[in-house]
Amino acid sequence: MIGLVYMAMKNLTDAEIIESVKKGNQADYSILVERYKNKAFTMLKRMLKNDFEAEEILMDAFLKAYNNLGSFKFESKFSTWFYKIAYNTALSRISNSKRIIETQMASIDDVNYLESNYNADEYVSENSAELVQKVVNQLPEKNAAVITMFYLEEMTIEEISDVLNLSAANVKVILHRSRNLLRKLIEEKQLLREML
Amino acid sequence: MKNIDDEVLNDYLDGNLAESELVEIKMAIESNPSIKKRYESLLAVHKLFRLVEPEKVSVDFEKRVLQRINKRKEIAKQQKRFMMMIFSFFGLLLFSIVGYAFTEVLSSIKLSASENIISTFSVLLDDYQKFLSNKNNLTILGSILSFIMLLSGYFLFELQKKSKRFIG
Repeated sequence: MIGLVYMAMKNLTDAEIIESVKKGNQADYSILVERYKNKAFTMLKRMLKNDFEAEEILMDAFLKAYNNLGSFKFESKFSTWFYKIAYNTALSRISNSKRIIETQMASIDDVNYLESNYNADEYVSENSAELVQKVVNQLPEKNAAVITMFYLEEMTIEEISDVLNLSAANVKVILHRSRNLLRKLIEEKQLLREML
Repeated sequence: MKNIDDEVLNDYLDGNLAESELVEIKMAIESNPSIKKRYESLLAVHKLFRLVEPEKVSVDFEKRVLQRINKRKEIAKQQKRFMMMIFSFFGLLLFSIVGYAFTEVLSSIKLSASENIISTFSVLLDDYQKFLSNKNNLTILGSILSFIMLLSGYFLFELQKKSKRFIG
């Protein structure tokens, strides 16, 4: 019986779950957590390059979201709102641990940064899936966040720009540069023919 | 025909171009092998990115989130109780001090039948004021209050610290 109720709850939309949580059904929040935990964790792990920290930030983000659920007015999707919280929490952590100094070098204006940081020879032994995983995991935090939200969460450029507080044009530049970088690595490894 | 660079091809891939441009680029891809090669490589990358699976967070994560939320609620309740306790204590203390001063003043006044109630009351207030303005009494009172305030401030700070850890 409980299982059936839970299954029915799982089919509810984010808005319906939020309304239920607001009415006092605190346990329903776990459905939202389950829905977004892995994708958000992927983004955070790619940003922070650390499993433990990523999980800690994810926990903080879910708690912050819960505490501010009352002020969530459904002006955007819950996922956009939540990713914004998670992204900003991760940025604060990075900034606190002074890693921002290194990553600032990777501003989107620095055209050559991405390419100069990757050496195709390092990836010789990898297959294409591992190569992608490895490249994405080593992208600067903004690029990693954009790639994750675009491909994993299937957010639009506009939604991503809302999360990152960047213009849509900048998000597009980040996305295209990440793609171009991976293409360059693949071409250097001559994997392209295998994939096409 | 416009210059078809990687930016344009990326936009084409994402469907961010106008209908007329889409047709133009599609034709260019079909007719120009160099553009076709560049486009296909971008398409391959696009497909590769789609293949990447999400990472998995630890199994009991939802449970831990709910536990933290419950803990936070518990701490909020504790804080409320603590504040109530402090306010009640201060209220009681103030009441006791006023009561004590009042009885002290009352016992020092000898009411006579000839005195009217207003003059008695003004004498009473005067004595009460004198009691409170007495330097020694005020020092003792101030010290007690400061000590209690410091103590409650410390506990309040500890509670806040604890709740911050859970609220995040």
